[in-house]
Amino acid sequence: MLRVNNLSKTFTIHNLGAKEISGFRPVSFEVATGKTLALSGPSGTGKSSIIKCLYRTYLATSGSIEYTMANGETVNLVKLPDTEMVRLRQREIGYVTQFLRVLPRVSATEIVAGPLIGTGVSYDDAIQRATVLLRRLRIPDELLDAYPVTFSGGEQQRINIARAIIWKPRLLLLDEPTASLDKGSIEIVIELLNELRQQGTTMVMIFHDPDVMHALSDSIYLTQTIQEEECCECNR
Amino acid sequence: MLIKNPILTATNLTKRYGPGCAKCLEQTGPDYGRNQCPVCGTVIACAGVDLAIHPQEVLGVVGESGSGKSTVIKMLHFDIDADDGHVGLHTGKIETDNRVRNQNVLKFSSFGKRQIRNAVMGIVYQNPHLGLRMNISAGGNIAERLLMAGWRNVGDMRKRSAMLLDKTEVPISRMDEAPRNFSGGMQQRVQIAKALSNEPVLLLLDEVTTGLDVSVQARVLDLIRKLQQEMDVATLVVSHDLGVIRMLTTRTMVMKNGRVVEAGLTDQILEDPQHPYTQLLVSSALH
Repeated sequence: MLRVNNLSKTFTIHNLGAKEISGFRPVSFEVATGKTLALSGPSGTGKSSIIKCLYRTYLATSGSIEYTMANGETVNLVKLPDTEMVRLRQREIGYVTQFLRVLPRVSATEIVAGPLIGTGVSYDDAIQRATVLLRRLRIPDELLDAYPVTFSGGEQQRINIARAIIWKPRLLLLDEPTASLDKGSIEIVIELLNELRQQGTTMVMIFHDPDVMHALSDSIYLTQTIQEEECCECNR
Repeated sequence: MLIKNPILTATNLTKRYGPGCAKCLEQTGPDYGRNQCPVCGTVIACAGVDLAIHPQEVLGVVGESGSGKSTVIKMLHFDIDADDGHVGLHTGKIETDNRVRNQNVLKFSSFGKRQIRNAVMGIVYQNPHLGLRMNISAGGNIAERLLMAGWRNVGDMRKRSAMLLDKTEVPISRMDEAPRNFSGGMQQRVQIAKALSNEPVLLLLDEVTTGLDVSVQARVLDLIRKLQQEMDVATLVVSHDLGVIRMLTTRTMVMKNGRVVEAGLTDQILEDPQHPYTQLLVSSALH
């Protein structure tokens, strides 16, 4: 479903005199439909940047990301027109990090129900499903209508995860979404993600905790430290 | 959900103030950091702007004062005549589409433009004085727009005005009062009610929260977001405020000195800006 070919990313910082910073060593990997791949490697090897390139939050500098859509057509996510990418994000590709980045002044259930509304699910039905999911993640009932900006770090992460999985994306990109969760919550998240796997969601993930990583991934891709000779700055 | 065909496609939108000469375009723009031609003194408000707006999407245009972003929105609303460019419409409103099929609506007569505007567009300006008649009641302002869109029954118009004012959180008890008595935030909400009264296919928002204090700004933004979702109207948001752009839009164009320097998904523009100006803009933001 996903074939990444020689993908690379270089940041050009113009107000530092067009300084170039390499994001990660060029990577190539494949993930078959319904399979899960973990990116693993020391800090600073660009795991998060790779995921951001897949989601197009970062523009890749070279290489390709071939993605086979639900309709069988294969597209290159590096070059796909913006509007098509927006459509894929709404219909097929989900992304979740450890940071809750949501609109202010929107209640927890509405945030979680958000991705469902507009996919043909009615508002009430979406809210109902969000409530069930949040209860399963042990979010106390009195918080369901509250604004998550005021929540604890762990609660925010669970809101985040609920929002990412409620619409069962075809491809889910996970960047340490459990970083500050306690053991009990992590187990629930693993259970939920494994249910999603069984239903056919393909995943590319980063989990520092080896237990979580092994519980969720079919295979592991090791990211490597950017070597001196590859560092653009040193090439000059 | 986005579908493939844009409802509005604009190419090469250009507006200049002055005589214009052969050097105007090549001697201005972000590479020179100016929009005034050094040869003839003409100001290039904007040039070569291409954009497409898809059904139900929210497209942002961000840039500093004088970057040409308001000129773009005002040309699309026919408030300013473009010197060059092509605007094609495919709104899904059959009657309008038949009339404008494969034509450049910028070339229409002022009557034709007004008809299109009344049928498919709504606009909210930074300055409520541009969008409202300050001495006519709030309800009257909306009724006037409904009249232009073909409504005739006074009772129906009054009912719809009340409904819209209620939706935009203006107390109905004040619907017969003139907006000059209203606070800035309330005037903005009456403008929004008026802009939405004809059920536009395209909503144009020109710096709608600029000049409002923070809590009022937040309420106006929440309202716009709520209405945008409820009514599924395609929206063009022009703002210098990256917070507004982040909150409302999915795609963003960045303008500087009358030119588009960068366009992309909003999160990409904010997290991986490519152009030196966008990098400066993003790193200058307070949060």
